[in-house]
Amino acid sequence: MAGWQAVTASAAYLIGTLLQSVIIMVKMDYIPQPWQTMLFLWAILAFAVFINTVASKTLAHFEGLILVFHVLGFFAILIPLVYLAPHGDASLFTTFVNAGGWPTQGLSFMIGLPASVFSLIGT
Amino acid sequence: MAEEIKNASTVVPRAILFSILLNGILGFAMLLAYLFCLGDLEAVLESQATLGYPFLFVFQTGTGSTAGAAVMGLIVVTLGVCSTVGVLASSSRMLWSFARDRGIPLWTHFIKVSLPLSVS
Repeated sequence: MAGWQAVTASAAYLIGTLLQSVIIMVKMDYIPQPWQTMLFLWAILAFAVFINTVASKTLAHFEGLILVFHVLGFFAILIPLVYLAPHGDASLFTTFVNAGGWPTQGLSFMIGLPASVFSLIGT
Repeated sequence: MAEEIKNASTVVPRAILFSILLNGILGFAMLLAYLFCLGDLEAVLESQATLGYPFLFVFQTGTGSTAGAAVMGLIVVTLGVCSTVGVLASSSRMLWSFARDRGIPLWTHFIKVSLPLSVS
């Protein structure tokens, strides 16, 4: 049970730090303070609580709207990225970098796997 | 949340499977696109220290403009906020249904529903 509540808070925290990273990218001399991250966290949670309590009848419509946004956003990111970026060659799939200093490549792969799979934790 | 759906026993498993399939396929496609547009691996790894999220750096060097990368980052932030709404919805319903079945301590506190607002 506590894990579920923690997932909500950690998702909001992740998005808060992401927003701070976007601000760093735009304005080079911004130094993120931890208390600002907490304020972002509370703002995101306040928005989520608002949608869920005061506007709870709109939740179903909101979820439908989010689906549309997700699909549009996916293509909005995919298409500029593929179109504008210089393409690598097929050696991408054949070179393996073991930057962590682990004894074998397989172990290094296993160590990195949870970090990538974390985003799929809801399914 | 399955209690709030009509015809739940067919709709819910179908929704779960469909979401897994869709997420998997689209995520894999995004992964391939991202890997192809990585560019210089060392620079991407270096950016972890300044930006904290390397994919923003990949957007920036890939599209060549900071404004475009900022917009793409903001799209991700907006989608993240909306997904937090959904996660809060499911976790709060979990807590309330466990309290209804007296499965957690302090269940009397969680089970109260206030009628004017229909908030539990």
